[in-house]
Amino acid sequence: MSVALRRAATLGFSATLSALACFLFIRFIAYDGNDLLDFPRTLMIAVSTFWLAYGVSSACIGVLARTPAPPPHVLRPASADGRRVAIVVPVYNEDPPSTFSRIAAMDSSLERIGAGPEFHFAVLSDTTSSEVAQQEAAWFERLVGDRAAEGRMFYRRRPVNTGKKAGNIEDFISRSGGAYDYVLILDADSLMEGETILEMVRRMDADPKLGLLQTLPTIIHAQSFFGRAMQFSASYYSPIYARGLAWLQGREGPFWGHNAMVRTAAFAASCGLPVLSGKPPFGGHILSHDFVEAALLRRAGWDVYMLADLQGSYEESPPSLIDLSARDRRWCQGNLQHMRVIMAKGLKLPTRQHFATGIMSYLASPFWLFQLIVGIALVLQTTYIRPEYFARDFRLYPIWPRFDPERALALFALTMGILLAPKIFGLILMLLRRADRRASGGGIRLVLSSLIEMFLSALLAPILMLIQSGSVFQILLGRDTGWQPQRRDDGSIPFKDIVRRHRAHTVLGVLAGISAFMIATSLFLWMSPTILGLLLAIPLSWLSGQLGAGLALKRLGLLLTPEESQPPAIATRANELQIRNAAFGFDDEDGLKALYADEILRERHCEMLPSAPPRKRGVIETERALAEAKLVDAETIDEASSWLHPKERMVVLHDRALLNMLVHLKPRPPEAQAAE
Amino acid sequence: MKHSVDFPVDREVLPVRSKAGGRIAALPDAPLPMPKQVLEHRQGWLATLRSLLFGTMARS
Repeated sequence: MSVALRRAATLGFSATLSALACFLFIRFIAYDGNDLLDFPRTLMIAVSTFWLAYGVSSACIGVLARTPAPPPHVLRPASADGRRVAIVVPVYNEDPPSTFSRIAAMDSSLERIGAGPEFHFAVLSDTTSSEVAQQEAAWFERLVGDRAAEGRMFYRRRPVNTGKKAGNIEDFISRSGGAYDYVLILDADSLMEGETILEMVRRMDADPKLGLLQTLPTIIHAQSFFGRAMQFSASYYSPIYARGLAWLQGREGPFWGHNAMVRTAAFAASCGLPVLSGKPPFGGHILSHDFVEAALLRRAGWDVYMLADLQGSYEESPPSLIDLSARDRRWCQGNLQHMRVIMAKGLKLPTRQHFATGIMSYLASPFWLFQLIVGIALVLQTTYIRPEYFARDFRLYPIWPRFDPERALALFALTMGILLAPKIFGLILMLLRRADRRASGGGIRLVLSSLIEMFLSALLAPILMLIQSGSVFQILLGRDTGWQPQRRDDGSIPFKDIVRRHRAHTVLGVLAGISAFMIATSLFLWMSPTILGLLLAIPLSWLSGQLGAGLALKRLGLLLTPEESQPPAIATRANELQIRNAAFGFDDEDGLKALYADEILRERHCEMLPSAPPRKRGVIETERALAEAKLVDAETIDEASSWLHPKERMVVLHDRALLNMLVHLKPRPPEAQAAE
Repeated sequence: MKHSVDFPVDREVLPVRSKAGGRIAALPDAPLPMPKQVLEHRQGWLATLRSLLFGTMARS
């Protein structure tokens, strides 16, 4: 069956399910005594169900479909056959020991299969913290020494992170892309086996029309309760979803921004991202750049393909609900920004559909919220306001408004069926596969783990719905930035911040619960999953980030994934290196003081700095001017270090003249020196 | 101003010196231009409708 026919059949199936949901909904609301909002409510049901059904269809197809035929390739000896490949790792205030441990592990994995020399690593830093930047430089130097990687490992830092990650990659390709046939784009938490990288090169090599090859990263290293639940869910659900997606999309596949290889010339020629007119959140730099880059490659005639079954590609996931919601805020803004480009000239139809799916994944939440609010309002109305028993048209009998539990149940069953079908299919597949079943702790533990995961997802769903609805409203009101969690030294989020983040959700849960109970017990029961999730928002969010809960379940063999039972070799290696690196312990150093004290470090640091463009007369950069003024005023390095704010510290770190001022400061106060 | 020393700059990007004192090569100087794409030139509704009706079937 051609890809177009597959797609048409899936769209048809989704439309049928959507129509069925509408039919059940109309049957349900026909006797509620209110017609005013019936049309928008039905429309929202139609759109939401269609979107849900399309996603679920992909997953169901993934269960049934055979693995799609990959692009042809010729098996070659273990080498990139003279091709030069850049493995780029964009970083932004990440933990340097972890990032550099992963790079060392990947380099080691490539070396083991004899494929080292053709693969260059480039750490592209957009880090804005002077301390982290300083650590990155120090760790990089250690990495190059440890791996004897002079000439094939690079580090560069941009003083200003224009265009964020997309701008970072673009900067690399514009400067150095001509030296490489392919670029493997990673995230700071990505990890890939050498053999996987080499296989991607082979596939790209054998398929000259292929512009981008995306792998399906497996989530590893989760420890917290929430992280392990997501990891478990992804381990049995993601492969079937991705296989279905690959079957449906063929060579018009997705790009998820990392763990993917691009043909450098194709990417450079097609993916120069414009700055959209107007201000953020809808204008400015494109945030969710990956979807747009895939669209541009397709527009230029290049194929974009997902290798759903290629093993050896890993990533990590957010450890708590709050971390997920902070990431979600960025993705929400990025996806809604696609409304500006969805109609761009020349885009392929499946591309527009990708954009629409991404937009809908966030609009679905306010739709659900609207349904809930209208539902409560209508029940309130029928309870406290005298209904219209006699319609304007002639009828023999009065209209008796009623809440029909049987019809409501039919609609509920259909929705639950759509939501749970892929998870249940995925679970059945895991149970049928002996190796997977054993690696997940056996059949009983697998079923128990699935129940825990589904229960947690159901409780978290209304909280996420409110968070996403809030994000959508904020963005529609033109607010560019979202809430960022504060962190303790151990990386956890303070309890008072969790309370502040979720107190409104809890209040809403209490109000909804009391209102529903006052109106009718049946309504309370009907809404209880939503109410319970909201009431428990604070403890659930706190529990989600707890390492203890995650590890306790691990000890019981619950939420276990095959990668946890038998960790991939590369993950074990990266862990070992990270533990060793953590023992070195120079992470807490003050970056500026380290440069002040160590002349050799300072000299190397200055050599790494890119040339500063000549300053335009009359243009004063606030941070630089303030940093310079503070350095002039300071007498000791301690004073300067305590006076400079983070942005000013970063300016000093990137400016040779300011660094020179810094090194001329005294080490301690004059009176202390005089006393000596 | 106490200090106004500026440093001579002779490189565009980033060589680092190794522990042994030897130079680690800078990122290759191999520019590959990335022309800005046009995304705000919209396709009309009619063309979209046409592609909606015929585009899906046109390509597999």
